[in-house]
Formats: sequence, structure tokens, C-alpha cells
Amino acid sequence: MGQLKMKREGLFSKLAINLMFIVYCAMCLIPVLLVLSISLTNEKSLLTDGYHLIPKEFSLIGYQYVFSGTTSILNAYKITMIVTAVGSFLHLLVTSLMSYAISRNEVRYRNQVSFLVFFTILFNGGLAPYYILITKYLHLKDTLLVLIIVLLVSPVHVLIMRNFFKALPDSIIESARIDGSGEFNTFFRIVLPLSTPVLATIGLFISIAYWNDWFTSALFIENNKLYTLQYLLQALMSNIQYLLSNEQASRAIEKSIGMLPGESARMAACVLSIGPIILMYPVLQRYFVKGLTLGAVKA
Amino acid sequence: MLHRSKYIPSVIAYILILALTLVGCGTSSDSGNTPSTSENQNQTKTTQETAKPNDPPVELTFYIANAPVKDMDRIMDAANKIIKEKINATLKLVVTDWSAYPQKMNLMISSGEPFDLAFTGSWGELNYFQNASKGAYLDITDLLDKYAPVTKSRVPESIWQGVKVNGKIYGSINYQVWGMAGAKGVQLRKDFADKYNFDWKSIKNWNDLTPFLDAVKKGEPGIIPWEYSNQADNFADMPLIYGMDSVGDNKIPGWIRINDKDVKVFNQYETEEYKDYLKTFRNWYVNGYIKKDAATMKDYLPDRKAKRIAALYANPYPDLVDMPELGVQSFMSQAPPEDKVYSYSKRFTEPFIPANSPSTAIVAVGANSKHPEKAVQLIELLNTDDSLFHLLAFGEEGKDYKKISDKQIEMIKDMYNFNWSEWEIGQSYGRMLWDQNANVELSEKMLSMIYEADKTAAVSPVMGFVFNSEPVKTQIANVDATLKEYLYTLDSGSVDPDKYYTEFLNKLKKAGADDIIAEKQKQIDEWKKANGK
Repeated sequence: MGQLKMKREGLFSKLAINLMFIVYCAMCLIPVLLVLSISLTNEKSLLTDGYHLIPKEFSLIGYQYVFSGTTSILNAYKITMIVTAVGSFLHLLVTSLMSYAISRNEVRYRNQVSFLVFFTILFNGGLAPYYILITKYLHLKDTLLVLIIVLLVSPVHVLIMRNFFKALPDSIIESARIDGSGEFNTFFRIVLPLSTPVLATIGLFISIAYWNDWFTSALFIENNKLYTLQYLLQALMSNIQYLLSNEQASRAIEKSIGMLPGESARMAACVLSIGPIILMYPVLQRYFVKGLTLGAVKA
Repeated sequence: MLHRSKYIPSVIAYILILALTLVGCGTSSDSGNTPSTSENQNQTKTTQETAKPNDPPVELTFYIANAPVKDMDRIMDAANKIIKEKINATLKLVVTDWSAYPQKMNLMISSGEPFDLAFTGSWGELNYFQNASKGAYLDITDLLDKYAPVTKSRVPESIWQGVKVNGKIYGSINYQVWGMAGAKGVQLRKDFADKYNFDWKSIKNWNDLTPFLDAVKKGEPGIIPWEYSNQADNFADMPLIYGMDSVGDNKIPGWIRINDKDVKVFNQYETEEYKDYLKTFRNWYVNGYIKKDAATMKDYLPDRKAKRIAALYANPYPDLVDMPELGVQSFMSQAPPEDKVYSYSKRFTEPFIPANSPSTAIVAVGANSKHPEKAVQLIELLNTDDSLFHLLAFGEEGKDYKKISDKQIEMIKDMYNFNWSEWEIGQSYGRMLWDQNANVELSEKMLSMIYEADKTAAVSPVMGFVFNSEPVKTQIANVDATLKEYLYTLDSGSVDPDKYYTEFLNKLKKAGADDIIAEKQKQIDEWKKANGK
């Protein structure tokens, strides 16, 4: 009797939990599907029929516009991917090396160094000094490097990683030392493999930050071969806005391609910008899980 | 041994930080050098080719707002051939997206980064007047006379007054294709006006429109009789309709009357005109001529594109009374052209040049420019050399456009396209090329009418005066907040003016409207004295 009741209760809660997550998933998925659908709908149909999950009048004009409009989107994809890959790797390397150093008790002045890092969370010079530093002193304007360097260290990430390293048991590192492992060897062979959860987390944060960064490009990049994807899409959007407000321009465009695809091009750009970065999640998820179980066994 | 190893991580960290900084410097100076050396090679090559023994051409940078342009390099190569031959210089046109351009320019100015030419203006965050008085731009009063006489002479002297700061010119006016003089009025759908026998030729103010709006409301379900848009408020954004002109930002209290020789500043929200306006628009709203959510609506384009608007505010000069033949190409704003929604346009006012219109589009020379003479020569070239201007605006003939008649072209799809931003770099008028949609004869007649009006139109009594809002910054911010709260709901007729009008005025006073008006008056009086008016 009791067992049956328990089973039933279990069934009920399982149902409730599943239902809740189904609804939650739908709430997350439907807007994305809507974006996809709008990007595939004829602009005129959008104005007269409104938005639908299944396009009323199918059309690829939004994508056509995005791809034909300006300089090569594919080149921008390439630049963004290079920046994201190289940038995320270097960010992880620099951040982990630095955080490890200031997490170890035997390092002198670690608190002073930590303070210098964390000070910048609270106080920074603002945009104009930042611009002056990059252009006048580092001479990084119009280089691929500027896109990588400005995001290379984030104080928040250093803080998170330092706390993670601090939580690692000292005894592991000490025993490695006793076994004759050098500092680099200890760091790369012992500490980092133990830290996949934090590396995955920070890696995810920073790759998304690199992927979505358009402002650096807007400020410092003037060579059209170095435009990043997000900057190009942003420029495309504000150009559509500008063209729509310019009577002469929108009339001329309408004559040649029908209606200027405002909404659908906007959503097409959105779909394109989701792009490969969405693949980061399933790839990195493995490490989250691995890290969690690893910690569980230890505890 | 153990003691030493303690330092290793920190030493590594320091070295890495140092190394990264150095790497940053190293590569950047490398990349800074490579293009310039290759350019030098190009330059020596071309100087040998043209066999000109004089100095190598200087590179002029020109910053404008525009989306990235396809095939820009090809067009720039062709353009630079012309520029090099004419003034021994090359042009490097740097385009920055509209959403980041003003910020980028302001950063470049505050960091003292040199540039030769830049597009600017007195709207949005472009801040021409502030930047000019800060010393960001070069005083080109004399340079213009010397190196750009044609550009200078084409623009009437009264309009040059509008870009002067302390009596000096800091930028060349892109005297726009559509001229300076404007009139305010309305645009009506032709089919409805004809159907209800509305005498559109005799409307002179908002009230005259009421019968038309009423007929549309009763006879045309699904049509919005009047478009109120908070992007262009029917009172606060169009002082001209009420015989007034704004001083500084439109909506901030402190307007003047255009026929007032003493130039007295007053609060526009306290005038009889405003009370009449509120009465009319409340009446329109209550009767359903204005959309219910008009006060908060951000995007008016969908309604226009879906042809749901029967009448709206417009800047019709010349209107259909001045030039009836314009009717064949006069469509409702933003309506799909293939649907041919014809319109009537009627202006309420005489052509007039407001104080802020000369500074709409300006090309300024940077204060740190190394070649200001060449820069001004380039301004002259862009304004007078039609082949150069057409090249930049439309591309190369045969590749990017086809000529379909003497003055008309057809753009080729997916080729070079300057995004209709050529008004930022200058203008070639008189022999302007038109795209395939324009009716050349009509457009030229219209333009000549506008240019004529520019010489005769009334000019704002405060032309050339620049309001410095710094002393009343706080009051302006407070007033702005009050305006956001009340203005659009009152002006769209959404709330009853009997209840909220006095409240609105009191709040404005409390926010410091009177201080702003007094400050404007003080500055205008000083300006008048200094200019002997």
C-alpha cells in the first residue's frame, strides 16, 4: 500500500517536473523558431499578416540582402572565428597562469598583484583614455591583434579562477613537488586537468564575448578586410534603418528588389550571428559534467 | 631551492604581462610600417609614370558615416587617379557604421588623433558647434576663399552665417540636393480627397483638415485618418508652422518668433498657439482620427508601408499648388511604389531657412591635419569635379550603372553602391545624375525653384547664433524628463488638456524652464551686441 502510494507520488512529481521543463523548453525555443520563421518570410507578408511560426509567404530575400549587401560576410566569419579561437585560447592561458600564481600561498606580493587586478573592476579610466591608450601608445588601431588583446584578461574571470585554484587541496600540489615535478609540469599536468569545469565555464564566457564583440571593431578597425561578423551585421542593421528613413534611397531599392527587407533581414542577421557559436554549448557541456563528477568522488 | 621556486609563478606572470605589452607594440609598429612602405613604392612608381618631378602625393583621410561599401577599393583606385592628377593627393575614405560614427569621432577628437576631413553636423551626437568651439576643427575662413572659391560662392552668404562660430567658418557646407529653404505642411491621400470632394488647396492650418479626417474616419474603416508620431511631434518639432523658430534643441522651452526684430525668447508651451493646438488634437483624438497608442508608438513605418495613413505631416516645398505637375510622381510617404498611392501636398508656410539647417551636413578639416590646404582643395574638387563625384556616388559607368539618357542612369544590382550617402562628402549640382526612378525635368525644375527660394526666403533672426547649454545643463535635463512625461501624451491628444495642461506648465517651471529661457535671452542679447544687430 505504502509502496504503491510512493510509486504514484513519484509518477506524479515526475510528470509535473517533466511538464514544467517541457513548458520551459518551449518558452526558450519558440522565440528562436519565430526568429527563424521571420527571417524566411516575405517582407510584405510580415506587414499585412503579422508574425507566424510557419512563414505565410516563403522568401529568402532577407538572407539574399544580408549576403549581397556589403563586403563579404564570409570573410567576416573567418575573422571572427580566428579571433574567437585564438582569443579564447590565449585568454584561458593568461588568466589561468595569472590566477594560479596569485592563488598560491608561497608567492610573495600575491595580494598586491591581486589588488591591482581587482582595482580595475571598481575603477577604470573610461572610454576616452582607453581609446588613447590603444591608438596612441600601443598603436593597435586597424590590426587583427587589437580584437584579441582588449579582451585578453578579465578581472572577474581572474577572480573566479583564483578562487577555484584556492579550493584545490594543497596536498596534491605538494606531493607533486615531492615527486620532483617542476612548477610548469605541476601546473599543466596536475592543476589544469583538475580544473576543466572552471576552464569550460570561463572558456564559454569568453568565447561568447569574443564572438559578440562589435564595439572594438567599430572603434579601431578601418580596414574592411578586418571587420568582424557582429560589426558587419550591426552596420547592416543601422544601414537598413538609415535607408528606410531616406525616401529617395528606399524608393530606388524598392524598384530594384521589391521591398527593402527590414524585419526579415534583421532576423536573418540574427540567425547568422547565432552561427557556429551555438555548437560551443554541447561541446563544453561534457566538461561541466565531467568536472562535477570528479568533484563528487573527491568529496 | 624551495625558496627560489616560490617566485617562479609570479615571475612568469610578470614576464607574460610584459611580453604581451611588448608584443602589442611590436606587431603594431610593424603593421603600421608595412603599408606605408608599400605605399611609398606605389607612389614612387606612379610619380615615375606621370613623370612629375614634384613632391609625392599626400594621403588625406576623410571620415564619414556609412555601412561598409562593396567594391570600395576599386572605386577608390579610380577616384585617386583623378585626385592625384588634379591636386597631387590621394583620398583614404574611412567609413564607420552610423551607430558608432559620432562616438568614434568624438573619441578621435578628444584623443587628438589627426584626421584631414570629417563629416559632421549639428544634430544627433555629431556636435559640430561644440567641437568647433573646443578647437577640434581648423578655422578655414581664409582657406575656403583661397582654395575653394566655387564651393564658397555657390552657397548664399546668409547660409554661411549659419555655420560660423565666433565669426569664423569651421566647416564647408554640403549645400544639399534639396536646398535649405523649407516649408511645412501636410500630405493627403489623393483618392480620399477626391472621393470626399475635399478642397485641399485652401487648407492653411490643422483645423482646416478636420472635415477631411472626419470623412475618412466615417467612410474608410481600417484607415488611420491622421498620423501622429512622437518622432516628429506636431507642435514641439515644427515651430515654423506657428511662425516661430527654436533656439537650440527643438523641444526645450525658449522659442522666438520669426518676425520679431527684438528677438525675445519665450516659453512656447505658454502661447495661445499651443493652447489652440491642444484643443484641436484632443478633439481629433477623441473622435478617433489618431491612433490610440500614438503617444508611445516607436515605429511608424509599418502603418505607412501598409498604406493605412490618410494624412500626415510633410515638408512639401514646392507643393502641388506651387507646381501642379509634380502630381504625377507624388506618392504617399513610404507607401510601396508599385501600388501608386498618389497624394496631394499642401504647405502651410512660406519658404524659410531655420537657424539650424545650414549646419545639417558639414565637412570639417581636422585641427591636427598636416595638409589643410590640400584638404580644402579636395573639398573644392569633390564639389566641382562631376566625374569624381559621380564615380564616388554611383560607381563606374558600364560596371555599376548604365546611362539611360543624358542625365539619367540605371543602377546595376549587387554592384558598387554608396548607400545614398554622397551628401556627406559634397555635391555636384547643375549636372547631377538622376537614378532611373526620377523624372529629370520635374526634379530639375523643382530644384531650381528651391535654389531660387534659398536666395529670397526669410532667414531666422537667430541665424549664426549658437546656444551654449552648459550653464543650464541641470535644468535642461530636468525639463527633458518632464517633457518625456507629458509632451507626447498631451500633443497626441491622449489626455485631457483641461486636466493636465496646467500641471505640465507647473512642472516645467519647477524643472527650471524659466532659467533656460533667461539664459537663452542673455546669450542672444550678448550675441546681438557683438554682431551689431
